[in-house]
Amino acid sequence: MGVRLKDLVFFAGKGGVGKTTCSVTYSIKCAENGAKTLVTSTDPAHSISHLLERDLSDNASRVMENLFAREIDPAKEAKRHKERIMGEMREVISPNKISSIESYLDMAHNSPGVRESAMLDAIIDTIKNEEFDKLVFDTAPTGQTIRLLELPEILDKWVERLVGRRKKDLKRLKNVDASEIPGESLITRLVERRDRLEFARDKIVDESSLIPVLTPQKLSLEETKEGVQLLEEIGVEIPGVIVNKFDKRSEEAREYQEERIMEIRDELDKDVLGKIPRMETEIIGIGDLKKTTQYLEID
Amino acid sequence: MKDGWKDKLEKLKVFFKSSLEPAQSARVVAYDEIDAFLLLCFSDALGIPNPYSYYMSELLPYIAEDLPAWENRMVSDRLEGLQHLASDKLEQHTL
Repeated sequence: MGVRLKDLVFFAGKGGVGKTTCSVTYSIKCAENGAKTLVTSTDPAHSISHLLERDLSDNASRVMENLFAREIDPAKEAKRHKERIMGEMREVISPNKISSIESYLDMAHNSPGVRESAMLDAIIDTIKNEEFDKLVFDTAPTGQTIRLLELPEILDKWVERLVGRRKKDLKRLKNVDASEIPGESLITRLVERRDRLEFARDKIVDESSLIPVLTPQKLSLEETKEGVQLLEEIGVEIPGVIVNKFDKRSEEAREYQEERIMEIRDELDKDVLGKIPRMETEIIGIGDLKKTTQYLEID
Repeated sequence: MKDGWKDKLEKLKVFFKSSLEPAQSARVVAYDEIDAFLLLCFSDALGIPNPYSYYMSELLPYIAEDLPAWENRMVSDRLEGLQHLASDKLEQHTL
């Protein structure tokens, strides 16, 4: 009997450690246990498509009984966001002014951080969809994961300030030039955005489990340490870690790696909830993935 | 004695100033607040990168009409601001 994880699970770690393998393996395990599971990959390298040997899209597609998979492309999500705003603008702004406003919109969407924001929105939409018992994400490499999870908190404070300032503007202008006040709908939109981000923060901080994946090497441990610290400061629950690519080929290799695993337990102060060996051949396809479930001590 | 005169002179100055342009002062202050708000939202238009651009661009349909005028104010206000600073410094010297 493994450690029971929450219904929302994130796998984090640097590129190449095996987040996708772990998240898909875990998803298969959940599906086999009867939970209707959706695994979402946000990895731009399409690793989940290669792993499952099928083309995936941003619509959930059935992989096996109880298991669905999808890929989110942050660039595509950002483009959709821009198009939605364009649509709204066409309804309220005169056609001769539209093109100059479009340039503002383009500038905003070329700003750094737009992809992370789009990704977070896509994650929020996934969470709001109540169709599935279990939601699993193979989040992007550690740095981006942390930024994503900090965003709701930062934005919450910022949006609150804007709402406060906006209300002051309305009051002030009422004494001078009433026709120049943009209006309550702006505040409503701001509050909607703040609520959406607060929802995300609450779900991610209070109702999710985050599992860092690492390899039994010094470098991997160092890279994981900072991430774990930051995430715990935010309040995210990290029940343990998974060690991937454990090389069993020689006694020497085994010994060395067992020492690294002890270090992981000591320095991260976390349980190792899975030790996945490096296979003779790559893990590809559902058959291989099903065999890998035995190495996970998470449910 | 000297202080009493200075104080009265100051009050007279303020009286004349505000009696000449009351609405304008209030409006400038009101615009300052709105402009600050818009700056927070749309700094990209002025070449200042903004990590929250994605979220602020959602507000465009609600304030887009005002944007070109705002941009002009941002550019011209800076010049007005400088002039204002200069005249303040002069007043300090004469007192």
